Amino acid sequence: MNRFNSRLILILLALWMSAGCGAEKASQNSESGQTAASPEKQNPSGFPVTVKDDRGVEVMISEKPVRIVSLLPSHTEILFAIGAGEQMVGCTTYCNYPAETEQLEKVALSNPGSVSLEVLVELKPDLVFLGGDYQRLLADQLSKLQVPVLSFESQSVADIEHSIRGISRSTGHVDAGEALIQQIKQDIAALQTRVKPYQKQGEPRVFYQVWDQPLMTAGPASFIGELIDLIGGENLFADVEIAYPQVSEETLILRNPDVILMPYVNGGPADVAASLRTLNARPGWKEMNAVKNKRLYIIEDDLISRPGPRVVQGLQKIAQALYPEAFQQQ
Amino acid sequence: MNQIEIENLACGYPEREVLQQVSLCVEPGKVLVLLGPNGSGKTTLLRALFNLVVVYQGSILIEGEAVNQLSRKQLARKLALSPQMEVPQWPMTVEETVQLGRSSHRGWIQPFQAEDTDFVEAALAQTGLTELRLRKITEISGGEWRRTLIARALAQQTKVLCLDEPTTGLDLKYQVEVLSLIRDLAHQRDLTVILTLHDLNLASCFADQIVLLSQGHIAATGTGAEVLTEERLSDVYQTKVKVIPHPEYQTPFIVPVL
Amino acid sequence: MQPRQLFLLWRMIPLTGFLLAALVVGIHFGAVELSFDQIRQSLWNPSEGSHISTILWQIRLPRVLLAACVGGGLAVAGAAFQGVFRNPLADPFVIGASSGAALGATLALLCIAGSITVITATWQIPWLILSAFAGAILVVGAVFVIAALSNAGRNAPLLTLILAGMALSSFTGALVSLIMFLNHEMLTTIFSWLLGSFSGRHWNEIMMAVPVIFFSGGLLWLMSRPLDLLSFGDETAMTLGLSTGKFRVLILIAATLCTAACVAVSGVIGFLGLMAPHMTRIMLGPRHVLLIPGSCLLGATLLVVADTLARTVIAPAEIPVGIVTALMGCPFFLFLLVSRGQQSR
Repeated sequence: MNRFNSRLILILLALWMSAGCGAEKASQNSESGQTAASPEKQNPSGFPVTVKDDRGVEVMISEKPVRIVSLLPSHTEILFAIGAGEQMVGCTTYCNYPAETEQLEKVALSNPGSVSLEVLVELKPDLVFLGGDYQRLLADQLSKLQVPVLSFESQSVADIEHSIRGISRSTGHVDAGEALIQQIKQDIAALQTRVKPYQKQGEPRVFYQVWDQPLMTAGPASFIGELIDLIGGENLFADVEIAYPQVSEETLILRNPDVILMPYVNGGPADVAASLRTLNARPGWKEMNAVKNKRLYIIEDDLISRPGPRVVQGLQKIAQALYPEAFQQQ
Repeated sequence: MNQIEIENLACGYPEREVLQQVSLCVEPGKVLVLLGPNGSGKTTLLRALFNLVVVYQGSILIEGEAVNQLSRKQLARKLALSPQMEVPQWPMTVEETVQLGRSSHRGWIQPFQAEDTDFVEAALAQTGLTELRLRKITEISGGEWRRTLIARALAQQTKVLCLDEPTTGLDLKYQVEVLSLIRDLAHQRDLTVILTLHDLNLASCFADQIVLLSQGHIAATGTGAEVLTEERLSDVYQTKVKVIPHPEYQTPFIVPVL
Repeated sequence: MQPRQLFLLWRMIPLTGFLLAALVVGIHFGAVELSFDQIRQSLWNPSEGSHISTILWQIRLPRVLLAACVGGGLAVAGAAFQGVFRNPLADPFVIGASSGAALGATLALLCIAGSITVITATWQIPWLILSAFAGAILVVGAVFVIAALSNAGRNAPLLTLILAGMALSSFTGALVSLIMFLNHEMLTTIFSWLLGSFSGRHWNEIMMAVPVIFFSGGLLWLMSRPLDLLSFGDETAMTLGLSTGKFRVLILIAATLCTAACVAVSGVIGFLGLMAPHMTRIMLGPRHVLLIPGSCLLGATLLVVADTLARTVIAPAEIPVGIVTALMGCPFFLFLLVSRGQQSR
């Protein structure tokens, strides 16, 4: 029992650390990624191309890859979004978007430890994409097996642009990639402009409930926290540095959120009325502005937890939750 | 009436019979000593009295009742045991340990009464532990611990007292004191005492009746003079011995011959 | 009651004092700062709808009380397990109660997540508690059945129980790990539950768990003398009049019930059930009639203090209380062990 417990603590610590480090890394990468991209401009879609990934490893890709494996759902979504879906042969069981992923070989669960190296190697991939720090060991392992690997951090909004650029250059879709980046930037800016007029009365105070027992939220260091911030919501626990902290219910009641967001997982039903009844039953919650005004919104988890091309959809859901007036007119 | 009647007993462990064809009667007020070499079945016979072994055949009656028909509590009011070996686990005091000997006389949630305290005091005094009553059983000497075990059995206030090797680890002074105490109790209070001993000479001095066990059978039973003969002992212990009269009591005195 | 035993009951007073002090501290401190005046006012005349009153009456008070009850329950169960197994290393989780509860709760969490807003209604928490409870009882029951089936059980029933408990604990622990591994998105949630927390627990949980804890804890206290006798070993206990088999099963069932009720509302809080009985034994001696209520008071005190720290140290965020008990408890416990060793020399 004690061994069991200490193992849990270790893993949890590791999770926290990786979340914290990831955020730091991401900001560095976004700068270096942009500068590294420009010298290669003269050779837009032609191969060979040399790409430097987030481990700092330079990988030379001699010709257009046609057997790509992605080990991260957000990278898979990027690959399809830039038109490289045709070149893919494998992904993880958690890669559930777009529908075409069903046709691909599943080489892993999303867990960094659960990749079957044998299945992966047998697929004879000519390029494997995976995440940053938390799949670092796996990346090194694959490199040793002579499998070409590119690892891109996927923790923040800045990482999206960075990942798209890296992935599109290494798969021969530079133009589509740049177009996607521009599109995402424009869409985000459009959403921001759209809600801007309504921010004059002050930003709504948002509580994102990850779980209720223990009460857990998404802090500003998390991707979800970043999205809320981006669209002009005030994170109720902006003063907490942990990405997914357990928080005080007392403080929650005192700070009194205007809007409560909740995720739903695995396509489960979004029964707002039933959830509201539950919240009403909790002591002190029915006096909250959010509960009184029935401002509870349930958002599909995948949209707001994957730093991928669908970030705009996720952001729009949050925007609609925070500023419903901005979307009523049309 | 006999205090204890054992008839044609065969008993032992699930995988092995240790004793066979054991028949024995013990009268009240007598000190019975079980003798025999290692592995002859002395402790098993004691354990059989407490219904702690598997009985294959025969019966054990105590005051006319079969021991395997009595509840543990009823049995504990008739029979007390001071075990050969017991490892103290928690640092209870000597007094608390002796007090728990009174458990079978009270309900499981009933507090101990004044009567219990009196018996505990008596048992402590009889074993010379009154001064040591507040010492922790994990911190006393081997001899003190053995006396505590005897006191706990005494506190049970039973008609039959069983002691497994009560003198082991005791100084000569306490060996004699314990055995004298036991004999006095037997004679004054009509207490039946059954004990196992290794020391043939102590047995010879203190026993009213001796049972000599050999390889799971009774080799001989009777008074010291009847049982402890040169020929029989040499045979049972597979060692040559001489028996001479004790200089004080004229009881048999056994010396090995090398 | 003899005067001597009555005298011993006086020794409960310091421990009772500690608990009262801990309760005051626990109610005074929280993520939201409340002054003594505010607390006094709101305690005597709670006004409907005010923040202070809600925080105090609906959130802080039930949480502090629940921590006290769970702490007491775990400590009593720990004392009973140590007594019945004659093993100072035994704790409430020794024969699989914790891993069973963890498995039950993990499965329940999965079901809840799969249909998050359907069960979310009032039934989510009872569902979680019942699953944890059922898991604990099932695993411990299986341990008993295995021990009974094994032939070795006749010679060394205690050892077989502990071994079967360890084996099944590892097995169910592996199942929990497997579930977490396969459901990556639930990882943090299940971890937080396993690490133990009183976050989001209110009067409902008290209503559900406390009667079980009181009932089984009280039963264990009544079993004080059989527990004392069992400490001499099975055979001696029998010769002193105890039907050891019957009582051992009764004690183990009561202690398992107590553990399961605690784990169901708080998750797995380690170390307390091991530590509190030992500390109490140093203070009050090994007699269970004192050890059990003493452990209860001390366990309650320790967990209230630990939860207060968990709530306040990095406020408004919280630390899972299981981490606090291990971090604070372990060094203190080792210090006690060392200092006691030096005393007796």
